[in-house]
Amino acid sequence: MSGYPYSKHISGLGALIAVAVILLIPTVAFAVPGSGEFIAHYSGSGREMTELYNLIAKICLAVLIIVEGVLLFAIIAFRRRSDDDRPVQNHGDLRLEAGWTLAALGLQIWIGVATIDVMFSTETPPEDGFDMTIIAEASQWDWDFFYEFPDDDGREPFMHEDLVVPAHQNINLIVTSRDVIHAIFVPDLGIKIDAVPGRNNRWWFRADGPVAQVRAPDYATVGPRQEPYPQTRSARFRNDRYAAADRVVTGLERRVDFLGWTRDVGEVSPYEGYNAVEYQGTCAELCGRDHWDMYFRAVVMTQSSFDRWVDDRLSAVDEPIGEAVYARRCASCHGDDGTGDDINPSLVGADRVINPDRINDHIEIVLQGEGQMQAFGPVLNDAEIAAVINHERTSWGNDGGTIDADDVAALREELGLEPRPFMAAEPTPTDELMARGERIYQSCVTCHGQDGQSYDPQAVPSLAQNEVVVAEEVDELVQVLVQGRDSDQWPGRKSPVARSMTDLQLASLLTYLRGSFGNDAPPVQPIEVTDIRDDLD
Amino acid sequence: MKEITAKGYLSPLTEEAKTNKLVYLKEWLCSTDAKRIGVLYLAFALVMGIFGGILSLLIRTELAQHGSQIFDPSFYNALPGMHATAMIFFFIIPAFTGIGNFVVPIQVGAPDMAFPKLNLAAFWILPPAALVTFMGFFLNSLPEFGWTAYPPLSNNVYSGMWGADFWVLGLILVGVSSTMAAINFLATVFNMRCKGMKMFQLPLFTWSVVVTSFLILAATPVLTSALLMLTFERLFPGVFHFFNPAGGGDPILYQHLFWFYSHPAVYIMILPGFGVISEVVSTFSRKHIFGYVLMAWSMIAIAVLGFVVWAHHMFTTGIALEARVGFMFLTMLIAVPTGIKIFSWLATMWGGSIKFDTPMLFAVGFIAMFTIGGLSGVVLASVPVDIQLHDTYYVVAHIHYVLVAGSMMTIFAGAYYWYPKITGKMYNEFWGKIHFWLTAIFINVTFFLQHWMGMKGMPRRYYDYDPQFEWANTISSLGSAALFAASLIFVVNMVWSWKSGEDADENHWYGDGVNLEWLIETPPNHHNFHEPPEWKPIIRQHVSPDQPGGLWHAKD
Amino acid sequence: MAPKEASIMEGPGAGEESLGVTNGKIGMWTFLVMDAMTFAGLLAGYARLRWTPDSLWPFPIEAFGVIGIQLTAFNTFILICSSVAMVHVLAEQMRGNMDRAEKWLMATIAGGLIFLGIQAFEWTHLIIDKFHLLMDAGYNQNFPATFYLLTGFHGAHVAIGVIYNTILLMGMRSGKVTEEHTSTTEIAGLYWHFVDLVWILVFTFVYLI
Repeated sequence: MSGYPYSKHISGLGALIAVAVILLIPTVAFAVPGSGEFIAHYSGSGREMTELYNLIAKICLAVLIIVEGVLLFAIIAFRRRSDDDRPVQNHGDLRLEAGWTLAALGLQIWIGVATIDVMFSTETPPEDGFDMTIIAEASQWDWDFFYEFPDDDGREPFMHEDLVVPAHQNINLIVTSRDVIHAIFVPDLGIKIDAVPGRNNRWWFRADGPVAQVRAPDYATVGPRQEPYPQTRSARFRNDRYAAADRVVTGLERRVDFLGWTRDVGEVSPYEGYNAVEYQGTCAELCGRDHWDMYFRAVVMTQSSFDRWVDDRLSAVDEPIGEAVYARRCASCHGDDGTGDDINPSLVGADRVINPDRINDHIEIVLQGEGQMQAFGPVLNDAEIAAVINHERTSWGNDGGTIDADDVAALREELGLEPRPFMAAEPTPTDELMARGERIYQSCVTCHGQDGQSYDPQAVPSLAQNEVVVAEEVDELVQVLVQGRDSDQWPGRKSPVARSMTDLQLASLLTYLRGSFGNDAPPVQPIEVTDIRDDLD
Repeated sequence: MKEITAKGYLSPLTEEAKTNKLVYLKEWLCSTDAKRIGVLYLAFALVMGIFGGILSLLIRTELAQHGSQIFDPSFYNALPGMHATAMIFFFIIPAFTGIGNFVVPIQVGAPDMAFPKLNLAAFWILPPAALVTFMGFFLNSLPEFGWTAYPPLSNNVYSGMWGADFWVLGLILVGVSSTMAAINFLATVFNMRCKGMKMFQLPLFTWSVVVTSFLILAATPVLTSALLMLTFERLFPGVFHFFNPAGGGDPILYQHLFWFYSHPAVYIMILPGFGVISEVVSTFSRKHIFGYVLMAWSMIAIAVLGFVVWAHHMFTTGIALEARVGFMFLTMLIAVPTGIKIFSWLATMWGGSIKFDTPMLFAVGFIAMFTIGGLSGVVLASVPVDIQLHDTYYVVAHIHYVLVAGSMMTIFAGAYYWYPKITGKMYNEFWGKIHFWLTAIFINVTFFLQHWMGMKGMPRRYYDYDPQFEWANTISSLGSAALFAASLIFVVNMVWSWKSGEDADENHWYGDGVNLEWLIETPPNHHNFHEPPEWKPIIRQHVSPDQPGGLWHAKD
Repeated sequence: MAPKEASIMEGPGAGEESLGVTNGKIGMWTFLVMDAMTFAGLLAGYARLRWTPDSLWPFPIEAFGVIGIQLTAFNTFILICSSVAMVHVLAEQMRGNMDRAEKWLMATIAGGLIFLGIQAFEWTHLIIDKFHLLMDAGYNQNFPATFYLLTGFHGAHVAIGVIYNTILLMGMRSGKVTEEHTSTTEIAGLYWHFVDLVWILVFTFVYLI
């Protein structure tokens, strides 16, 4: 059809440019140095994966160039020159077809074998054993890391919000979850494994320290390929020979400048005083609303710094750094130096901040907010509030005396606020508990009725104004739900419906029961349920 | 009122319908003619495709710059899942079913599908199913767990919204609909072939529909059973705990069942595209398809292998190393039949006389870009690399190279290729070519940089991201807007040409069409053929190179 | 169940290269492939949940008791007899003896109804007297969940089969299905035999192993 006036302008030359563009974009992108490179450079297993990726990418690139080249050639060479062109027909050729089938098969086997090599070498536990074990526990939407040391070590296990590891040590990472499926992901160290509730997934790695970092920029030229092939697998992970680099590294090297919204990187790092390097860690499996905001710091320290850090954690474990809390929570309005701006008042020399008599006013405004200021009572725990208040009262020339966490707790009680001691789990909002509980309660309505009024109070007790339900202590209610009951008050049999519920589910149900049908008992937090259940067992 | 003067199957069936547009419309909506149902499918797919495209634009708008743009994280989290659902279940699969409905009965020489009423029922399940699936938009309670709906996130505790229950129900309905269509296709192809149309004489598009139907038949019910279990767990939380570890269940079980369907689903979405490309490349190169027998067998091989590789979506869930090795090798094996197909298309073009009309441009663009998607698939098959790239933008780039540069471009190719046959009119070639160029360029602009983001560690389904990725995301967002705009050119071209295009010939593509649909009038009549056709078998087997039909046989 | 409706309706005409059977039969076979995969999905889920270390799964003998297993074995026997009756329906129809075909079909339907009745009795018994004891003893909660899902899904198939056969019976009574329409009966029989076959699998998995 040559009936289309514009088409012949486009078809000839256009086809050429088309394919050129199609070819060019990917090729250019591959050609930019480093752009085709994997990010996992800073651990032994990460480097092996990077190498494997590079191998496969090169094979694929070669295949891509062959295919696109043949395509390009065919487009140009075999374009229709006249409408009467009648090409020679052929219907296939067994040799040719067998040829490319076997070639594809061969390439795949090559890639496969190379992969298996890396799989076994990165996943088999190291021959010289693990130096320490860290349990990473995910929850919506945060990470908790539990540090455990070998039995002969003598150091107590403890919990921390970031992943901190010593360099050049075999770290055994056990990953699990408290609620939905998450995935721990530290791109630079090549760590990724799903956190599945009810399962303990394992990943092990051996991170380079801040010193080995020196060779990272020219990694491409000093690749492990030039190493003599090691005798044992685990030896391939030792980069100690690079440790003798010239540069003397002191202090923190930061490779992270974004940690989401709730964990602003700010200017102050809690690891400022250690010889360490910081990476970004995050969650990779969709886990709900704040899936994208589950960042944590993955910090690799020299062994001596790590030991010092552990000692600091164990001794000063209940001292949040006021400066850090201030940077994260307050600096956006009151400014880094506390001077505020047009709208937000300055803290420097403010009466409430420097007057020792008004110390409770200061705590109160932080707890409850005022005007534009947000209430931090539900967000920060007592120790954090004490730390940030102390920071404000002793910085920028202020001298207003200090407080401790007990003062905050006392004031909370006085003001009738929810207690929020240090090291306690984040409370779940009551709205959320009610919403979840309502949904769960739908399984109960056949007996207990939609409005909590039983159809047959002789057989099934009503829940409205039920003394067990609205009792101050929920122990008995939990026991009934978890273990079932057969008693005079409740004749017949109450089945242990809640035995397989999670603490969150059960707490939601309890909160709903206690806050509906005209009941007006306080909500129940999952942590309370956990305690009661522990006692029951 | 003006009389409706359409030709072929488009013409009104009754005298009343000739003057009354309402009656004519009713005739269309209740027609059991596979061709009309095919057009209905295509129209429905077009609408849902635009809807899915708008959702993708919303996603890209939110991601265009670092920081919060227009939505809150909850609404954003719902978007990728809704976009995937709309595109997979309501755009790509119905679009291919539509093309298949029109083309397959004609290609096998049958007057209609085997079960015309079943066919109509299968179509009419779709619009209500779409309504149910996207009910969350009306109830303001969209499911926020992506299209994969992994429990425990998707159970009633973490996703208590009613929209999620509707979504699950909608997916079950879509499964019923596509199963009905698959049963119909199989019965048609197996039982209604005309004289001379042996199985290994079937055009490759029909072959691809047969293989796809088998995939649907065997895979979809497993998804249905998984969704049933999920529904029971959601609706009766105290009683059913299939996926709840606290009740003795296993969250990974759902993933196994889900991917047992959803991996074959990828082939359900691409195999008919392979069939379309085989037809287009052969027609516009004026050559028979190279290595027909191996082409057919490689589709079967892809289908069979597609059932035994599902766990490669789950390498990070902690399944045993040995199991992963097995799944990896099987996954890599799929590249072999896919490679055979690519090389056979190239060999079909080789030595041909290639004319670059819009369908052929899309076919060439498909081969060029699908190869990138296929090769990034090889990269992802390797377990340690996959673990690092899992749930990053690399995977997003991979699926979009496979589904946009693959399925969507083949749908465009098929739509342009059969447009003259379906409507009896010719689309606007100039705007068709413009559409191709914009599509080809902006697919790369939109998706290529996502490989880079993934390699540098940007996880997918992120509401906000590290500022270092901002420039790439901005480019990607601009590309997606341009890609969407280009697709609107297609819509306008299709609609406008149906009214005002030039009349098309019977065998419109320079008389090069060899399959039965090009040998009947344009547009076809209600029962396709005036008398039962007879297919004159063409050479489909291998011949040795120096025989007639062989590779190096001298030109006579 | 749409494929069944379609199977009663003949296609627009069989092609020359057909497989020598009606479209309806191919339709039913392919539908059964699909249905079998649905059961396969549910059974796979069952197997995965049951054969896991520490799954605390009760042995069938603990869960149902000897009497319970024997009752269900009897139920299985009923269903197999019903399948045999369905074979006779087709045989009599082919001989042109529609009266006897109708009687056999009634026997088939009766078999299906007895099966459903016994199953309903068993469910009630298990809910009221059995399962909460098992749960109190600390067994896996998924045991009753999978039990009800599997037997319930199969029971729904039996119920649909009974309705299907009843429609066939009404067709025979009203003379719409005559001795010509053996394929209609055959297709209904395919479905009924499939339901029987699946039950044997479910029975083996849930009650015997």
